[in-house]
Amino acid sequence: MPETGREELTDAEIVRHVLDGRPDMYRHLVERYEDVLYRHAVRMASRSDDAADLVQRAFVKGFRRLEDCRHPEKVGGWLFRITANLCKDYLKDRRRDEVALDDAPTLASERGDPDVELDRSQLGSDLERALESLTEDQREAFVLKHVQDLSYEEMSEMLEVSVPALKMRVHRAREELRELLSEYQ
Amino acid sequence: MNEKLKKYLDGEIGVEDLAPEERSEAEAWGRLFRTMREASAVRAPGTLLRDVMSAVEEEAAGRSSAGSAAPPHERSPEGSREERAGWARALGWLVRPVRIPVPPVAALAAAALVALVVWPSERPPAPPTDSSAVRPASLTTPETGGPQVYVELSLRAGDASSVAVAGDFTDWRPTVQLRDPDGDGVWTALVPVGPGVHQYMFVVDGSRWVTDPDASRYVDDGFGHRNAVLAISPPAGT
Repeated sequence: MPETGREELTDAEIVRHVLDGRPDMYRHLVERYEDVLYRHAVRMASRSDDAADLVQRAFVKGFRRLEDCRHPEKVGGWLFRITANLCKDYLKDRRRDEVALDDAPTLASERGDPDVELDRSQLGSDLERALESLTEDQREAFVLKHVQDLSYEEMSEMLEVSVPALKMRVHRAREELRELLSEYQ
Repeated sequence: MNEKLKKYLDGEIGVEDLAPEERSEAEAWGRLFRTMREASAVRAPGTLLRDVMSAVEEEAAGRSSAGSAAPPHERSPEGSREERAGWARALGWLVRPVRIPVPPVAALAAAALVALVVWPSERPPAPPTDSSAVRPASLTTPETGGPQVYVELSLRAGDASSVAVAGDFTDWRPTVQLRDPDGDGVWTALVPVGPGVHQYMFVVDGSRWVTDPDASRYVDDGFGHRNAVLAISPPAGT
């Protein structure tokens, strides 16, 4: 089979190539979606190394179950759902294991940016704590809406959750954060 | 939070629709969102693609290798487990009454307790929703040539990528794959096994050995784990 230019391939075509015995073509899906999945995992997990592990697991799981993807043209959303579910399971496990947030560096401290002002750093730290207080569903909805900047319709299609339900999750998340971060407002 | 501010944050109205005091809070939210976006404006680590494709290639190689038990990259506990399985298999020979039919009443009671559905193979089993759920060709049954029954085994494993069953009826190799076509996290397979008392475990994601939580009977495998026990009576009329 001649090598096909990446730019010419749709998601559905890549999926078809992979299912037809070209696992190497899966690389194009990874390249296409690794950043967006990683950003979501980072915001959900707060820890970059765990986020990378979650995204890797999501891609491998997606490869194994690719034939179950009912809409190959929307494989990106399908991979996102796998990642999102792994992230929520991860948070549940972390809570169950009662691992304190202080045990791991936050994103703000990981970045090591000397220009980050102290108050912003403190806000980042407090923000991580505040996000920890949200339920997995609330955190997911809040991150998608206000960090990933998706519309409710996009979120609904991606998560297969109704728009009103998502609005309620985001609203409750904002109320919770408003309370916890009131000193910054 | 008042309704107008909520609508603004949801993108339903513009900032011009807000009163001055509402705009102040809206700006505070805007700063917060920007801070969060900046903190997560990261790119995937350069090693991610390599690691994923390495795992994918191993997975693909594992699929093409007949009889491969699990992807090589997930086999770390496999060696010790194989050793355990060997002991369990030996233990199974001691307790498994291969040639002694299990009393049907006792077997049925056990089957009911472990929530199993059994179809005699002499009549066609109820068609599964996914025909690939049954893979009798991959089985090595202990009673070659004898009557078999189809047993429905299931495991709830919502975060699993794959679930297989391994038991004395597969020579302790996880060759029978369970399926979850509707994605509800419940993995199921119809497994043809011969009459007798069998031991089995589930293998999740190719490497994690999980005892069936719904089994009614268990036997210690001698290494701190428990194998589920499955008692099957001969089909009626045999």
